[in-house]
Amino acid sequence: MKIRVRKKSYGVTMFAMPDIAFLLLIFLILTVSVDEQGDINLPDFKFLQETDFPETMVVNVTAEGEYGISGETVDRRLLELTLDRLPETTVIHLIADKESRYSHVDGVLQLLQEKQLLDVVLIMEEVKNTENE
Amino acid sequence: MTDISFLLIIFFLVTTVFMTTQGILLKLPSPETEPQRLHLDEIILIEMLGPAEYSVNKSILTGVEELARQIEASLETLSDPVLVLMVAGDVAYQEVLKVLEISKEAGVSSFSIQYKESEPRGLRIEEKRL
Repeated sequence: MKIRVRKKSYGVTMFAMPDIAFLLLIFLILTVSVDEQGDINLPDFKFLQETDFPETMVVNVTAEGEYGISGETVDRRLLELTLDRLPETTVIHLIADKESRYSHVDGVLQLLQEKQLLDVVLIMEEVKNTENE
Repeated sequence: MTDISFLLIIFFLVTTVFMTTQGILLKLPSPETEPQRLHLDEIILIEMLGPAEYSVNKSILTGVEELARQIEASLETLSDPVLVLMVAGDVAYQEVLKVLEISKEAGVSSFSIQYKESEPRGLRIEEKRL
């Protein structure tokens, strides 16, 4: 007498795969940083360092001399109020347009000094090699 | 749908890995601390009077090449000087960085950037030694 043994499949079920994919997707969309640079053309510089600090705040200065916080335009009063609330350990990333006047950049540096936010990173980009172009 | 979401995940993963920031780290002097006193013979004083208009230790120069030569000449006579950069209001930020770049290439390691019309930060230059 032949006894039929039903073969049981031990494969991994893939039904949960789309759910995991969507969860990962939502996580990545929520955690990826928004465009904090806005319409700013970064200045270039040869001697740059990689910067990686946990507590940072982005302050922008446009070519027209307008201030911004994380890409959003703000007036000076709002900028001051925002900086007032920050702990002194915050590292400020200053993203200023290469065409902006130095007086506007200096204005932000003075404000940061007044608020005791003394760690500042001037964000720039590396000089592009144009020799081969 | 699953394929699209996986493609999007790969896109986000790749773009976030390469997002690094680069720049120069500054430590601003605290407004409460006593400014550092420096004598004129310990500094290289560069004034940026306008676009591509410079003066090194009060002698007017035109052009970046001349500026680089003057900084190199000053470095031969001074040991580890501080470069004090006085910037006029209408000078573009990139121009200021260009001067910093030239000075760093020449071998200057200490800098102080001051905006001409504002109060000097953390530095006092004295004509005569005390």
